Amino acid sequence: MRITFLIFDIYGMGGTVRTVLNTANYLAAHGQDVEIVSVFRKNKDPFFPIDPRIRIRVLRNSVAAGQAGGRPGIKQRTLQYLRVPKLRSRLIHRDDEAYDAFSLMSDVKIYRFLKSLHDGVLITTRPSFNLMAARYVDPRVCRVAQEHLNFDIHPPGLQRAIRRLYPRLDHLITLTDDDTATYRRLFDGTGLDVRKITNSAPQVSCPQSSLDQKAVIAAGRLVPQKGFDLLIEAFARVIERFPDWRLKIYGYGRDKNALQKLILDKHLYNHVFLMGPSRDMQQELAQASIYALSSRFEGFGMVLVEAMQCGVPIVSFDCPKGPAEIVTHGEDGWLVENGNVERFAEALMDLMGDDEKRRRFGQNAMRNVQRFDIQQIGRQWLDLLEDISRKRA
Amino acid sequence: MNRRARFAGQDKQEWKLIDLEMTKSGWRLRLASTVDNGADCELLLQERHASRTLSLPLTRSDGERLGSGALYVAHVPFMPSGGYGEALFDVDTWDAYVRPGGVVEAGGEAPRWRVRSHFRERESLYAFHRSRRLAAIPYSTVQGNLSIRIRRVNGSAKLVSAAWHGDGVLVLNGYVFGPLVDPDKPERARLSLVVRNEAATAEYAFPAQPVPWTEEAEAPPAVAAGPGAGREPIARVSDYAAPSAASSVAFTARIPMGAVDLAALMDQRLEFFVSVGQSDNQRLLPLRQNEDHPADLDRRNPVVHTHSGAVRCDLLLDGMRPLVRLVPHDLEAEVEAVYARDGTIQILGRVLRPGGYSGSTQLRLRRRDSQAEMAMPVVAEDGRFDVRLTPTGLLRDGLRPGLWDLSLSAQGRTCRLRSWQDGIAHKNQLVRFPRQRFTVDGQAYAVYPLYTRGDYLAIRVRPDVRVKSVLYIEARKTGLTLRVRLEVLPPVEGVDQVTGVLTVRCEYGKVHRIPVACSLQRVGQTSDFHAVLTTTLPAGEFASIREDVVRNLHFDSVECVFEFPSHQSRFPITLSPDAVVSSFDDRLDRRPRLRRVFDRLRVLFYRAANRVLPVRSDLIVFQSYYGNSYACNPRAIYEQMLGQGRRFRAVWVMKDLNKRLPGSPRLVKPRSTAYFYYMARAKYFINNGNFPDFYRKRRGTVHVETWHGTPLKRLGYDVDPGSAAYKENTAPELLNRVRRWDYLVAPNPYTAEILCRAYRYDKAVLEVGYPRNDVFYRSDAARRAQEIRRRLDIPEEKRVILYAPTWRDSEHQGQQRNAPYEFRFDLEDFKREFGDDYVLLLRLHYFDAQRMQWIDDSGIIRNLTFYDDIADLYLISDLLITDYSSVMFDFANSGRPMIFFTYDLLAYRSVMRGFYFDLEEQAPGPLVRTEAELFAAIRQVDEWPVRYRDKYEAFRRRFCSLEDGGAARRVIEAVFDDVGKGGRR
Repeated sequence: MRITFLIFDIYGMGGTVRTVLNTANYLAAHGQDVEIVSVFRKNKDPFFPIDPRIRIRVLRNSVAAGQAGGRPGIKQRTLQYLRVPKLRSRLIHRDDEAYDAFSLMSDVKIYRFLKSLHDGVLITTRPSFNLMAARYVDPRVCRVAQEHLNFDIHPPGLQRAIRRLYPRLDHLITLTDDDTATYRRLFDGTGLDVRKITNSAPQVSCPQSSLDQKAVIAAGRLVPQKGFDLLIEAFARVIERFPDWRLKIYGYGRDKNALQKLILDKHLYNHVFLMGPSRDMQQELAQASIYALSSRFEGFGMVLVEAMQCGVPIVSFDCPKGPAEIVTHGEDGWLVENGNVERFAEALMDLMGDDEKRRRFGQNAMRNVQRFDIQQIGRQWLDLLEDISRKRA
Repeated sequence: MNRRARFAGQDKQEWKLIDLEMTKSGWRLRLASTVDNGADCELLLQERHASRTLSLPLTRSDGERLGSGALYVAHVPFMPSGGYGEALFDVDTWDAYVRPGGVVEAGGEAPRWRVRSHFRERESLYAFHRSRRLAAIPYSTVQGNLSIRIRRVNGSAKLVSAAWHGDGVLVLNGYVFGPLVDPDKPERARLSLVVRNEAATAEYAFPAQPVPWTEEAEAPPAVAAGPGAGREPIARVSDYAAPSAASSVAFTARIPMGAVDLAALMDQRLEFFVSVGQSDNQRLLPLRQNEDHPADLDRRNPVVHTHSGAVRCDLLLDGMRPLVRLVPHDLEAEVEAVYARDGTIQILGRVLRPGGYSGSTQLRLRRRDSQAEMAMPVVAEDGRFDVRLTPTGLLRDGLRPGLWDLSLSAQGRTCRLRSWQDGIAHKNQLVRFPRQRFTVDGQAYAVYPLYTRGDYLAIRVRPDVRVKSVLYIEARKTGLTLRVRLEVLPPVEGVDQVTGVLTVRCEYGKVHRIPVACSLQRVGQTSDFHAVLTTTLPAGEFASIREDVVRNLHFDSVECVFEFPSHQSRFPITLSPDAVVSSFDDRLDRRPRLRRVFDRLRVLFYRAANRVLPVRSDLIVFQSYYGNSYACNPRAIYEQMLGQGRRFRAVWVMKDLNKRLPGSPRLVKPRSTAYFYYMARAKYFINNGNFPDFYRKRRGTVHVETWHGTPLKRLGYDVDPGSAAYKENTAPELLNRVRRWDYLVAPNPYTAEILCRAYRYDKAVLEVGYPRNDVFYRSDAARRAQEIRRRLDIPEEKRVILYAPTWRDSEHQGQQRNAPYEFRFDLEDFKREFGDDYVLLLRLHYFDAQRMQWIDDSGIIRNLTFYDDIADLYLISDLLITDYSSVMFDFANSGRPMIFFTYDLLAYRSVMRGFYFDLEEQAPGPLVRTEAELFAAIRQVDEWPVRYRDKYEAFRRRFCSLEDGGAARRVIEAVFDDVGKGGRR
């Protein structure tokens, strides 16, 4: 039975890619036939290791486009002349966060791919893909949808579509207990199996932070969702009391210039650094003493798991949904009322001022995070696949 | 291939590379197939875009099974003895396929499948061909398939461990890997370890002994460890860190730090290279840490005592490169915060050593590449200091545009201010401080702090406005329109219209000041502005000066002054001949799509004309420097032909159609219709570069390549394959162009030999001297010099220095492309010191001239980059300052002194391109590295002819022996036989 993942860009970085690869690598290592279909490919090399036994197929390869050399063929030229690659997408749901990245061209490719499936398991990883799977995929295929976000966060249009189309799917995988409850309630009686399989952390030997660097770290795309503007604001309050601490923000994104301007305007250029993307996040985490998660909302907050693996205590907004699931308030980190910059700064200062507490939280974090180990989570995936094949039989 | 089949994937077999392992004799590949064929197959290597193939047995391994498929093993031998060795290295790229074994069908197309793979390319998988210096590099294509490409490489040098022994002796262990070394004969590699500061002004070499390959140096092999050592054990393409003894030579080197002049290199960083081979064939390989196996670094950081204080040697890693940072141990100061706001720059810091220092210190600002220095008192209390710089005051006291390094000095010791303690490296790329504008005497400057390489603090001062690029300048009857992109630091807010004055300097000392109005439009949130300048002179008045102005737009830099509401900004605009819009074709350049259509149509026209129209045997096309100027050998040949009264029709390819040339030849703009017409019909082509690739050489036409200088820097295939310039110097297009040459004019046997070898040229060579150097030997040289001096308006009593630095490939990569051009000596210092006696003529590279920010209205320093012919400047120059440019070989004909301002000799010689001979040994003048040395050399200018007499003579014997004023005549005789004398043939 072939298992196919459909993902936005397997060559990118970020939590979704990380978890899909964790799962896919685990499944491949356990003898499953795994294929990953990546709609886009923006980087030449993948950020995270991929098991060579996994088949990778790219639908829109923007790396190859620039490298093939010579003139594009007559077909490409015709399509370009008709501006097909530039036309907006019709099949991807309008409320998808990355709607602008898709085009009519990618629609065609995704549609053809979906229609080519007739058996096996298809795992889709974002709401718009889930909807497409529900709508177009042959029902003989077992369609497993992953839902990374809380239902309430979705815009109303997307919510309506989800209500209408998700029941056609076979399984819905959620990440947190809250989400599971919400979606179970929504799809009660429709026959859709909702179950929780949280994201998993790879089993690796992480470098451990010594927690004596006076550095706070944060990572993520530089977009409003991640709330780095709030973090910078909170940090501006912190440095009045702790002028020798630094804030390092890793990642790239369209808000880079705006954040840079915020740093310049507030004269924080000695304390806050936009570090750009990093290839080896674990090394960077090991050089920090506090991880700050300032997101307005999160799917799961995979990065928290990674930070905790390195023994770094957390200060996070209690935003929907992930952090509360991962962080134990007062044991391995602080959960702060969502959006309250004042409290966030206080929580940071609390950990900055108390070396002993930092160390204790760090130890706890390392212990508590073991529940996300791939050996445990992977088991749940294998169980799911067993259920599926039993149902088939 | 059937698309549906590709998606369905049922009948298609897929072959995947599971791992790739390096063995002593070749690669061992393990492939997994989706379908078990049950029999052995063949691994097929096919040359890309060609038909050559190699086939290798692919045996089924019975032991392991993978799902429904099977595992196969192949062995690709690359040793010459293995049979495929030579053939493997003969092509550009191999693509790997699998095809069923034993099937040799005649006619029928055997099925074959591309081998899929994804793994990161790594050096340890390279296979080398030593005598040809080639490497076979397996890699995954962007489509995820396995290919092998063959490239020329130098290999690399890797550090395994670095430890301090005894009293400041650094012992480096590592290995050199690549085609330059032969592991079976390690002693023949001639290794040495080169230590150099980052600015590349000092270099020390220490012997490096080859040592037996020890267990310690060798990493555990292949699959078992692979990347799994620290990460997920899944990426099984074997990528063991250190290659085995089969391809590398291990070495150990001892570097006694005492042997390095630590006092002079204080507060600098030392980098390491391994030099392989000797003199002629020497290659420098930068020493790096292995990507997968971090080097073992000894962080004990010894302190070495020198006559000017104690120096601590910090061993550290900058990315992959090991460095030793020399830190003054008696005095150390760390910056904790720097603020640029409200008209001051505030620096908060701490004196780390001596701890808790209280007392008076000095903050020093030292301008880089200059001797200028400023100081101000600073009081440290309990180790802390807080300095507020007010640039307005400093600017009055002599702070001027440039980069000013900051250091602190106390008790006779000095240390640079830096920011290391927070552990955030590369602040030069991460931190931006707000730009501040200061106005002094009506002139605005942008001032801001910045971190330089190594995280040292500095302050940059520059004119607040600078031209980033010139889009075009159009001269109509009524006025000029100039469209440029400006950078304004900090960006002016709410100003969209400003007035100003353009000052155009013309020949014979004439100056035109033209009032302009300028509209400014900010580009997004950046500090860039689109600016359109239009002259506001009444039409009648403009008409009277129009011709003068248009002809002199690129005579010298145009000075522009903007009157902003709050301040005045002054900056130069350097216009190249391409920017001037005067014809239909120029206007076409602004419409790229239309331009492409026209280009394509014209090339079609050219192709047709090139076949159909008869060749005109009296038509000669001349071109020099791609049509940018009327200069060099083509000009000399042309003028000689005119002088001989030959009958011929001349066509000059010229970008600036406003030029007036003797003999009134037809001027054609590159890519215009007329240009293509003449390119199709001419019989003779005389060029000092190459024609574009559309050009198809017709039978019976004659192409005379005069080239444009005696080479010092390596060319073509002689370029070091490790350097950035290699690819461009050996591009197949370039070699195609060389194939069109019929005659190559060579100024000396040395050049003839090099060009023939480097470009694989084997047709007629005219070793007759350079026509362009005939001017030195003509009887009217003195009279011409007088005329040129008048044209340039150089006062009778002043002597002339020509500064002609060479082009640096490395300065034009990445972010540096747009950075302002930096002179490596201070023009302000020059003016003060030599302004009364000298005029300095700047002859820069085109791109550099456009990046330059210097303006001078005193007439002492002139930007003559776009002056037509540098030969005119030779005639009037009393002294030449150059570095590695070929102007030295031409100027030697004058017999006048030369100074070589080779501030980056070490870096240029080794890293960038490499030289053909030892400049230090053979230069006909002194080599200087710093401003102080340069100025001293200028002061002693009258001594050089005496002190360097022998070397100068030898230099002339070697490079100028053929020059006697008759080179042009000899070229003409050799090429044209009797054209012009007997009319058409």
